[in-house]
Amino acid sequence: MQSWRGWRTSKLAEQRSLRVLFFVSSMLFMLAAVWAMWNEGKTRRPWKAYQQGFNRLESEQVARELATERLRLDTPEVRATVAKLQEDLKAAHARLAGPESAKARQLLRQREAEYAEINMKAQFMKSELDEAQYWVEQAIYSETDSAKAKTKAAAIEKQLRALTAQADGLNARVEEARGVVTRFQADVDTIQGRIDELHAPVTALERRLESIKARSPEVKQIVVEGLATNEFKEPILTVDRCATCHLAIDRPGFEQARQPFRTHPYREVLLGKHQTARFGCTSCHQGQGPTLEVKAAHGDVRHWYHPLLRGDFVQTSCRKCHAEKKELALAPVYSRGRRMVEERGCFGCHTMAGFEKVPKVGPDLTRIASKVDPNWLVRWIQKPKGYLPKTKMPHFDLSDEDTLSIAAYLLRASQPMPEHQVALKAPASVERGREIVSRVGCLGCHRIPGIEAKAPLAGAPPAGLPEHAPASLLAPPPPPENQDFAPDLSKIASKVNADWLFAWVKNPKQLRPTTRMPDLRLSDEEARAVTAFLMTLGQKQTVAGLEREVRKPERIAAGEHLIRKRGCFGCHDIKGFETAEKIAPDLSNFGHKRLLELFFGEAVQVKQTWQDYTFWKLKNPQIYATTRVEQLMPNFGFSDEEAETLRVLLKSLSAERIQPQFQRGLSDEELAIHNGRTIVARYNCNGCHVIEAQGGAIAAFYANETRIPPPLEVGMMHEGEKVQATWLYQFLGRPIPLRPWLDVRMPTFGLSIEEATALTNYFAVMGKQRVPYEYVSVGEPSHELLKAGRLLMSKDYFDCFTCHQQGERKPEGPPESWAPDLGLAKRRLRPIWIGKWLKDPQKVQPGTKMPSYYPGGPEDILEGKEDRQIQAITEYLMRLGED
Amino acid sequence: MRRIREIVAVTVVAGCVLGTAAQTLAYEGGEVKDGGTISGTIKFAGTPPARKELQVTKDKEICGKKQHMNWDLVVGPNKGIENAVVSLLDVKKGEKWAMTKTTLDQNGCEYTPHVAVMPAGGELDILNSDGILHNIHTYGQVNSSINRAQPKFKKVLTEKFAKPDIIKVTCDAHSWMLGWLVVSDHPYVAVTNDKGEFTLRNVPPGNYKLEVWQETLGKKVQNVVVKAKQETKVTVELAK
Repeated sequence: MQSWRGWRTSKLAEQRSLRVLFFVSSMLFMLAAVWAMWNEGKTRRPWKAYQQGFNRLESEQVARELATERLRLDTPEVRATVAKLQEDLKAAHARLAGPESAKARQLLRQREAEYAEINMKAQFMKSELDEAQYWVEQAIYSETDSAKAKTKAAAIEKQLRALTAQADGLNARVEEARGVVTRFQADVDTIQGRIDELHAPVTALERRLESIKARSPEVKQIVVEGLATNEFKEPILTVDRCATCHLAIDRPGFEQARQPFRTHPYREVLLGKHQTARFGCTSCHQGQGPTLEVKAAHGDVRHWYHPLLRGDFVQTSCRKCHAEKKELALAPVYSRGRRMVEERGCFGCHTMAGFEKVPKVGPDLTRIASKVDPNWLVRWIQKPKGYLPKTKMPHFDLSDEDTLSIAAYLLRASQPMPEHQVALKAPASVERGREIVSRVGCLGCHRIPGIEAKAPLAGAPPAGLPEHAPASLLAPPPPPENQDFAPDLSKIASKVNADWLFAWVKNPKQLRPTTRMPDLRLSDEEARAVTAFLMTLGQKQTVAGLEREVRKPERIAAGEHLIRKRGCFGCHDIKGFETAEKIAPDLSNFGHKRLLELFFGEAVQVKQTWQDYTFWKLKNPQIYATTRVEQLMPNFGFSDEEAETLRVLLKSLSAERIQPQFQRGLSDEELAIHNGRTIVARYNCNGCHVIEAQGGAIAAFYANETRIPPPLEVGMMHEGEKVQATWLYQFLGRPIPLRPWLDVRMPTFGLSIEEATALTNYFAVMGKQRVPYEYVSVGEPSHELLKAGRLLMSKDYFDCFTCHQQGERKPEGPPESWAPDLGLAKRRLRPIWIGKWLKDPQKVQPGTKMPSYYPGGPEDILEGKEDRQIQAITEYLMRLGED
Repeated sequence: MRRIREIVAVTVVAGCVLGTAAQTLAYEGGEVKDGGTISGTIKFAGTPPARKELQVTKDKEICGKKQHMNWDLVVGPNKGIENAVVSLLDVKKGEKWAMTKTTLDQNGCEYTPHVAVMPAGGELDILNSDGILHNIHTYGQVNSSINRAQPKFKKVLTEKFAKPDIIKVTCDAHSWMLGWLVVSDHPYVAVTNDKGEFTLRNVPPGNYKLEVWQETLGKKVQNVVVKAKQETKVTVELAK
C-alpha cells in the first residue's frame, strides 16, 4: 500500500510512466477480443459443427456414388464403348481438319463470294428501281409524259427479277455447301455428346461434390403462421430453425442416416401433405423453434412450456387439425387411444371434447331389480372382474357396507318390468335351446361355453385379409384383438332371473330402449327354449339376510349419496340421476397441464413429470390419495400398454385455438364412411358379415360355407353396388328372410332413421354408388329382348327357378337348396350388378352356390351374343311379375 | 439397393435349382420292359354298415326313376370295398399314359362312375344325359374350385385339371349327388370293382409305396415290391 501511494505521490502525474499498464491492458483487451471472436464463431454456434458433419456425410455418400459410377465407367464394356467413341471422335476431328473439309470450306467461301457479288448487284438494282419509280410518280404529279419513265422502270424491274432469281439460286448453293461443312462439325459434336452422356453422372456427382465443398454454413429458418391463434384471435407467428441441423429432413436418401440427419419418416405423405413452408416444424413436434442450441431447441430446459413431443406423443399433434377423424393410419397409438376412450367411457365422468355424442357405455339400470339376483348385484359391485374377467366396469374398491348401500339404492330405484302377455310357464327343452343358440346367430357377439367353433372349412376362402396398404389414408380400423363384443354368458344363470331373460331374448329393446342387443325374432317357444338353456349356465349363490338388508331405508339413502359421489350415472342410466353433472375434472386441456397443476399427493416414488403422473394415475389412481384428499377415480385395471396408449390420447387434449384454414374436416365421402363404420362397430355387424375384409368370425360355427351370413364388402363384393339403396334402407329397418337355407337370422336392430340412412350411405359409398339416385332401367326394352330373357331363364335353358324362388312359387326340394327370391330382384338388385354377377358369380363372391353360365350361353338365342343375353335376363328380371 | 440385388439373385438361383428339381421329380412316361403286375383286394375290417337310401327331393320324374343308394361306402361280398382308389406314390418312371380323355356322366341324377380317374392336364368330358339343369361344383385340395352350370342344352362340358388331386364333385341343384375325381400324373392308379379288386399292370420292377384311399375311410399306405414279369398280390384292410 505504501509503495503504491509512494509511487503515486513521488512524481507528478505528467511525469509518471504508464507504459506497462497500457501494455498489459491492451494485451488483455486483445486476448478478450480474440476469445470473443472464437467464442462467437465456434462455441456458440454448435449448429455449424452439425452442418459440417452433414456435409461430410453427404460428401461420403456422393463419393460412394461417384466411385460406383466410375467403376461402371471402368468396366470393360463401357471402356470399349468409350474407346470406340474416342476413336470415332478422333476420326471425325481428322475429317474436320482434313482436305475434304478444307475443300468444302473453300467451296463454301467461293460460293459465298459469288452470292455476295450477285446479291450486291441486286441491291443496287433495287435502288435504281426505286429511283425509276420515283421518276414515274414525279411525271404523274407534274402531269408530264410518264410513259418513258415507266418503260425504264419496267426494264429495270425485269433485270432485278432476273438478278434476284440468280441470287436465290446461288444462295441455295451456298446453303448446300454450308451443309457439307457443318456436317463435319456435327459429326464431332454428336460423338462428343455421346461421350459426355456416358460421363454425365460422374460429372454431375463431381459438381455436387464441389458444391458441397463450397457451401458456407447458414441458419436455415422458416417463418410461418402457426396453427393456433392467441387470445386476440391473431395467428401466432412461428420461427423454426430446426432444419439448420436436421438438414435432410425433407430429402430422400437419408432414411438410415444418424440423427439429426435422418429423412422424415413417411416423408412423402407427412411432408407432402404438410409442406414445411406452410406448417413449419414445431406446429407438430413442439420444442423451441428459434433456438440453435441442441437441448434448448428440443425444449429440454426448465419452464419451457412445450418440450419436443417424443415417441408416440408426436401423434397427438394430428388431432389439432384432424379432430373429426377417428382413425389416422399414421397415428396408430392415438387412434387406439381414442377407441379406448370410446369403449371405456372416460367421458362419463370427465368432459372431453369430441366425445359428446357417444352414448353411455354401461347398461341402463332402471330395471335392474327385475333383471338380476340381488346377491349377484352385490358381488358384482364389489368386484366386477370376479364375474367377468374381461369386463369394462372398473373396480371401485368399495367396502362391504358401501357395496350393500349402492345395491340397495339401485334395487329400490328400479322400475317394474312391462307387462307381458306370454309368461315363461310352459316347459322347454334345454337341448333345443342350445341348438337355437348355436345356430340362430347369438355367437356373432356372445361366446358361450360348450359351443365351440368347427374346424376351418376345406376350400373356404381365408378369413378376410386386409388388402389395403397400411399407409392408405382411408384404411379401416384394425380388427379387434378379442372377440368379446357382448358379455360372456358362461355364468349367466347366477346373474339373471329367468322371467327377465325370457322377456329380454324376446325383445331386448322393450326392456331397454338404448340396448345394442338386437331382436332375433324368436317365437315364444324358441325364447322359452333359449331361456331354459341359458339358465343351465351357472348357479345362484345366496347370502343369508342380504335381501332384508338391502331394504333398509338408511342403506338406500347412503346408497344414493355414494352413487352421487362416485358418479355411477356417468356410465349407467339410473333413476333419480337423470340431470346429475359429471363428477370428475374437465380434461379438455389436460395435455397442457403444468406440473404445478397436478396433484402428486404423497407419491414420492412417481417422477415429477406429466408423463409419469398420468401413467400412474391410469394404472392406479389411489396412489395419489392422502388422508386429506380422496381419489374417486376407480381402478380400470389397465395394462402398461393400455395406460401408455391412453396417455398418448390424453396428451392430445388441448384447448388450443386452431385457425380454421388448417382444420381439415371430413369430405362427404369420408364422413359417410366414418359414420358407417361407427354404426358397423356399434352393432357389431362384423360379428357375422365380412365388411371391409374383416370379421365374419361366426362362420367358424357352421360346417358349410353356404350356411354362413353373406359377405358384404370384400374383394369385388360390394353390398352397395349390389342392392338398391331404398331396398337396403328398408331391409335394415325391417329385415325379411332372404335366404331360407340359413339358420342364422339377420336380426332386427331397431335402427333409428339416421342410423339406417348412414349405413345405406356407407355401403353406397363403398360400392362407388350415388345415393339416392340410381339407375333402374333406361327406356323400354324391346319385346324381343324380354322374350329372349324369359326363354333363357326357362326350364329348357338356364332353368333358374329350379333353385330360385319367385315370390310364392317355391322350388322343389328342401329349403337348404333354394336360392334367393328373384321376384325381389327388381326392387332389390341394381341391374348393372346383375350383369356383373351373371358374367362370373365366383369372381364376385368366391364359393357361392350360383354356378357360372358364361361363357357357354346357347347359340340359338339372340345370335348367341353373351352381352345381349345377359341384358335380356337383366331386363326380364327387372320386370318379373309384370305383364 | 445391394441387399435387394442380393435377394433377387438368390431368389433367381433358388428358383432355377427348384425348377430343375421339380422337373426331375415329374413323372416320365415311356416304354416299360419286363413290367410286373400288382393286383389284390381292398377289404373292409369289421361289420360293414348297411347302405342307406338317398332321398330324391326334386326333379323326381327324371331323378326318381330308380332308387338312389348311398355310394360313400359300398362293401361287396367277401367284404371287398367298391370304389376305393389304389395308386402308387412317388413313381418317377413308367408306362406312358395313353388315356387323354375321361368321361363323367350325370345320368339319373347320379355321377357315373362314382369315382373317375383322369390324367393331370387331361380333359374331362362331363355329360348331361338327364337333360335337366345340373351344375358341376368341385372342391379340390390343389386345383381351384369350379362351379359351372350345365343346362339342358349343354350336352357336354369339358374341364381340365392341371395338378394331381382328389376332387369332390357336387351338384348344388341336387344335394344328394356326390362324385369324386382322382387326378393323377401317372397311370398306376385304379378304382376297385364291386368285389374290391384292382390290378395295376406293367409296373417297372422296384420297391413302391402303395396308397389306398376311400372317401369315408381315408388313406392307408403300404410297401410293395414288384418283380419283373411277376404278379404281386396285395390285400389291404381298411377300417372305420
